[in-house]
Amino acid sequence: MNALRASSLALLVIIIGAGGGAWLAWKRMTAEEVNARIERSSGPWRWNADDRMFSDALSIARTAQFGPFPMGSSQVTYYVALADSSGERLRGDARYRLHGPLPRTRFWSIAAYDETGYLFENPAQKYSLSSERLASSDDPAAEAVQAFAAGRLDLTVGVPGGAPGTLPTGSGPMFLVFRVYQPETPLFPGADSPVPITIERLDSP
Amino acid sequence: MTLRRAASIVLLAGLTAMAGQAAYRVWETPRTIMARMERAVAGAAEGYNRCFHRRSLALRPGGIRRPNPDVLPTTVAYDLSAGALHLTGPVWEPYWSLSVYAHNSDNIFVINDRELESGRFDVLISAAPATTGSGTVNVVSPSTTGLVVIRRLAADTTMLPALHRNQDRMACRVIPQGAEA
Repeated sequence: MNALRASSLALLVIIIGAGGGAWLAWKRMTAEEVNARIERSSGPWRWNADDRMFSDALSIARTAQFGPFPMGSSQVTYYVALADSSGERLRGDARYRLHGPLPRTRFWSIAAYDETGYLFENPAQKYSLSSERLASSDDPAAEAVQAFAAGRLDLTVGVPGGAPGTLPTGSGPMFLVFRVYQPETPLFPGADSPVPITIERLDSP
Repeated sequence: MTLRRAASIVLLAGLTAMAGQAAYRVWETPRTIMARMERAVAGAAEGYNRCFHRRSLALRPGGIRRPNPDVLPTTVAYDLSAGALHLTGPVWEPYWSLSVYAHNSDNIFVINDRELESGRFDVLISAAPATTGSGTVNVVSPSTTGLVVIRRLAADTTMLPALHRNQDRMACRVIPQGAEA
């Protein structure tokens, strides 16, 4: 009887241990954990250098879980912003102005995602702002298009509709991903920080 | 066996189970996600080693997290058990890249249009180094299955007709083992 009881107890401990292991692994692969592991920062922007997403088994698992099929840093650098320039968490129901110099790159884009990593559905079916969109805009008088032509980035996030230089969002916490394709070095020559693009909150929900 | 020793063994077994399970989950997660993606792509393309072209920029509910809204991808789920996969076609001038992901989701190869002087791509994915012609890039996959993602920039819907023609001009074919690409 004692042997049976001891075996049952041992089995229970092993099952609890295995369950704990699965929980521990899951906890290390959540969106918050992935974002917390981003190693470099400049103002509100954070990024990984040197293809860290493929450097070890845990990084590969995190990448697969939250943002699979990335390209290496020679092709794209992914800058992520979870907060505005004052440190407040970004929200889909607020408006933000992004301002700074243009990066030296083949092209760039900025997309907004909800906290689970999905794009915001919107009637305009507009999911990113990009250098290509601004360069081919049919509204040259638009402020964002004029700023782009003058070598500046001046965008507004959180605006419904499809006006040039504006991006619709939704509700709840969000984050921005600034993709820079085939970046040159330095990306922002003469700037006093690696990513001198500010995110200023314009209004509250 | 003393009670203390038995308790130590049980505790050790529990900790070993915890560490083993955590390591297994980390190992298994990318493979499970890739297997699901490979099946989905093969299903959409009506088979492995066949191209599936996304045609629309419209948002699809669900799918992968952090999708890239700037590109219209062509995906191929490869299975090298019957031979190598040969991919050829024209690049897409605004921006084009071809990435290969092994079954553990690792990005084992990437090339973009500016790295190809001819304006065409010619890539052979094989399980072992292959004999190829001079213009063919040979990618050796560490796994039998995996995914190819070809990204073409699509800034807006006005680019789609030309982009669709570009998609349709690419070819995927299996080179049986022993044959030359």
